[in-house]
Amino acid sequence: MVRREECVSRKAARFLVWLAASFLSGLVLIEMNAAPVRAQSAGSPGISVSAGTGAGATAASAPAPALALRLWTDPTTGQVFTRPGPGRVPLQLPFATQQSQQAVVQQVQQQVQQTQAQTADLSKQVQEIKPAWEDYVRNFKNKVAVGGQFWADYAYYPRTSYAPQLLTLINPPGPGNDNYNTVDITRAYINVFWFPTPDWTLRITPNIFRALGPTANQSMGAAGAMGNTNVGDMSYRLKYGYVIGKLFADNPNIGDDVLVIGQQPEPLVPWEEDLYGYRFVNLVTWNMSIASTFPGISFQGPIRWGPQHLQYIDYNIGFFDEGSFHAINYGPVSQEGMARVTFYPFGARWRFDGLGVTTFYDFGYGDTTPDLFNAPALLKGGNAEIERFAEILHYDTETWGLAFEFDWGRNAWSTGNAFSGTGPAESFGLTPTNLPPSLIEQQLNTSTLYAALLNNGRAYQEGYNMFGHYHIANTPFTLFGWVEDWQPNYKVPVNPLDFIRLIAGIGYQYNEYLRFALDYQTIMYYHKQFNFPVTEAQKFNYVAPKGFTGSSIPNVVMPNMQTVMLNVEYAF
Amino acid sequence: MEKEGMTPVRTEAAKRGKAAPAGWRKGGLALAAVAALMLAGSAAWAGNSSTSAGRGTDGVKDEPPPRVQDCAIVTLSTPVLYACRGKTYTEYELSYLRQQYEQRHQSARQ
Repeated sequence: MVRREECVSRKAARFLVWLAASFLSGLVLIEMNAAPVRAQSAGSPGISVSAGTGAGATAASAPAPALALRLWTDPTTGQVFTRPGPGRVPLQLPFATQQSQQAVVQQVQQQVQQTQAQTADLSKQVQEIKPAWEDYVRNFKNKVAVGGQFWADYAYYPRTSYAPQLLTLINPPGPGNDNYNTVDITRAYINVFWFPTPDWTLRITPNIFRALGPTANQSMGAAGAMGNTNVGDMSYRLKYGYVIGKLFADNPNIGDDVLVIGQQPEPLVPWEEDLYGYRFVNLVTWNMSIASTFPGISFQGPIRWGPQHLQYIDYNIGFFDEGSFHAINYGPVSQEGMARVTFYPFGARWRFDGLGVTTFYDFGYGDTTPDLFNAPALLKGGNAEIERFAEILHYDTETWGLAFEFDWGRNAWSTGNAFSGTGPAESFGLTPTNLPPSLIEQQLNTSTLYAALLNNGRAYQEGYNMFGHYHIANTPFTLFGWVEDWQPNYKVPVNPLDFIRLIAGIGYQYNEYLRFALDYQTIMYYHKQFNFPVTEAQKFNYVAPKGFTGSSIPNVVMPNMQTVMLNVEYAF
Repeated sequence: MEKEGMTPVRTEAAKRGKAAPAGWRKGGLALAAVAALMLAGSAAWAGNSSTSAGRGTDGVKDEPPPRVQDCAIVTLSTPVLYACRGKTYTEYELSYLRQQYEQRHQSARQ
């Protein structure tokens, strides 16, 4: 019985498969409310196919019913039979009609549409999220600027001497080191500007400098030691750190004028560097005496008027610490005042356009604490008042520029300035090594004389300069040069430290960011060699070194220095 | 300290040395005058020279943009500012204008 029933069940299953396949392929068409039909003529007489979910027929007006296969099942055993019997109950197995299938398809389509709508909503939400961070980045990008400047050079010195620095961070050796050559990096700015609002800007600019640590090996613990490894390392220090405020942005005449607070460019030197255009080759004159950067407060900018809105005045007036950006401020009396005013009598379309007359004045004191400054002294020396003055007549076009500069100073040029590149060891309080005693005595004498002539508190400086540049038309080349006649103390009738500085070179503009220059530079101590009379030196508070009894100090004029440089500038 | 109080030694030194700076100054002034004349003349000559201007594909005259070497430095900061043809440009703008001009002419040649 069981085997037969199983056989019947298999037959029924085959029938079901056949029936479903017939239906799906369209071979079987069954009308609604159709009478039961024989699905299988033999072996399955009890199997019937009927419409409706129930045992009976359904009304024609009823919703499209599903066709059903009628079987019988024994609920206790779960067996399925093809005909009724004791303990068996009907089993309706509905299967889809075309209508019901369409209903299912429609339902699926509705679900797909709903899912698509949900996906679209989600996509929209994602898109709304993405522009939010993009907007943040875009806004951030529009409020911050990052740039840099890189200066480097290869320098060959046919002749070496004691001299002021030709460029910041350049310290070639003194006389006796002819044919010295070196590669230098003189600037590596990282410029960061932050301007979240249109009226206030923050600038932070670190720059490299040469770190000189202890010059001797260092003991470590009771019995250990370590070598000195940080002599000469390149390090970073703060060059600029200030905020700029536009206080009169709506004023058409002084709308670009700004209040600057912090460690900022000094009023003359950076301005003159831009006027000259070749600061990556050499320092401007007063930069050999005064730093380019000071902590302080200044007000600066152009003043424009007229129908063409031309610039007629450009100024920078401020008060600054006595100590520059690389020194602690001791400020004995008050802040150092500096002012530069440039007049453009015919108006200027851009910063240096046309004829300009520039006046600069600086008044300050040596960077000394008040107790030392106020201590009684015959000569204040480095603690005395300091003045610097410059008058510059300049004419600039877009392709050439020429300037004449007169400089005057008081106590603005010490031996520290004269030997900012390299100087005699005795000028730094050191005794030269590997020199015979006679030359050591010679250096001690001359160094003492130089200090007397420059550091006596009554030194007056005078300088004459001519500088300019000329672009060779239709080429990337520009000729440039600077001639300076400098008298570190014109109160000395014949000052062995008087010199002429000459720079001549040609620049090559490779692209908008990169420039090269090939140039020759020299410092010529133009007086012929002579012996300086002790009686004359004593008028400058000279005190002969112990053991020296001569009537004149021999050979006080230093040899000339010459160099040929290949410079590179990359700025953005 | 005044110059009229020179000692004989100073005078001797002045004979040796002071002549040099005076000469240098005279020479410097002469040099300055010559340089100024040269620059003025060269500028006039340069002003007469003109750069070649191409024509765009649409026939409209396509003026070459200002070249950085023909400009004056206004500020060497971030960004670097240049003055060209009476206007102020950043180095990025000059670079962009040059590249656009070169691309237009390169495509026109092709």
